[in-house]
Amino acid sequence: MGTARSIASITATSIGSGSKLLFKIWRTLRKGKTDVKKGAKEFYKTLREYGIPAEDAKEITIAYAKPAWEILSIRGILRMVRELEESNDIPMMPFGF
Amino acid sequence: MKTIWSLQDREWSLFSNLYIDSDQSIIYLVNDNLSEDEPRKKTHVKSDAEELKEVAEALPELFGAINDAIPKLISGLIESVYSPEAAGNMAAGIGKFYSNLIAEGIPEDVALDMTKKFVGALDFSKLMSMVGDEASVEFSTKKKRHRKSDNYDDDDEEFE
Repeated sequence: MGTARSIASITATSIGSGSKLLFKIWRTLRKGKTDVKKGAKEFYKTLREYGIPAEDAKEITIAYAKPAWEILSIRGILRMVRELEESNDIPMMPFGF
Repeated sequence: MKTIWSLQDREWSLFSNLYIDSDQSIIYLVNDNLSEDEPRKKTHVKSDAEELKEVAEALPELFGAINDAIPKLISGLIESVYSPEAAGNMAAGIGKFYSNLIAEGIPEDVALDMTKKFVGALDFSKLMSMVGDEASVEFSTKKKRHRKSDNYDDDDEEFE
């Protein structure tokens, strides 16, 4: 009886907290994209203030914002986590599975 | 392994030094060489049910920590490079580079080409990964600290 209760508790916690985590990450990604847009606008405006032509300023701004845009997706986050795992040699799953 | 109780009954030692308790946990006897008058002690090995109960208790804490850490890691990473202030400063550096070249009398198209090469050398993706590495080091240090504190908790339980 205790075992069944524990398994039910683990399942419920995993579903509940996993959904909460997914929602939080999705919200953070959305906020991050908004921040990157704002940063890129500021970047472009400052470049224009220093007299860089519009077309070139746009090109430089795209080069600046592209890496963040790539990271700010679920796949980008997964790739980043994989890279962190490789660089720090911390196994993300127990027993190397 | 904890000693749960002392066994006074000698009959247990005649069968085996192992038996299964009513809650399916394995209990075995130690101190087989003791005299008959001395009480025999039993040690208790964690059963699957107990382990599952521990996991069920620890899981909300673990998810809570992950729920806090991952959004902070992402937003910290973005804010450090892409906040309006950071973006303005970076663009000002590039703009100053360009305007200095123009002020020194370099033709506009050559100055633009040099500025683009300068921006290409900055490599924002590398910058992001550098910031990410620093953030991950901080994160792993926190994890290690947490693990150490866990060990201390275990030690405390042993002393109790």
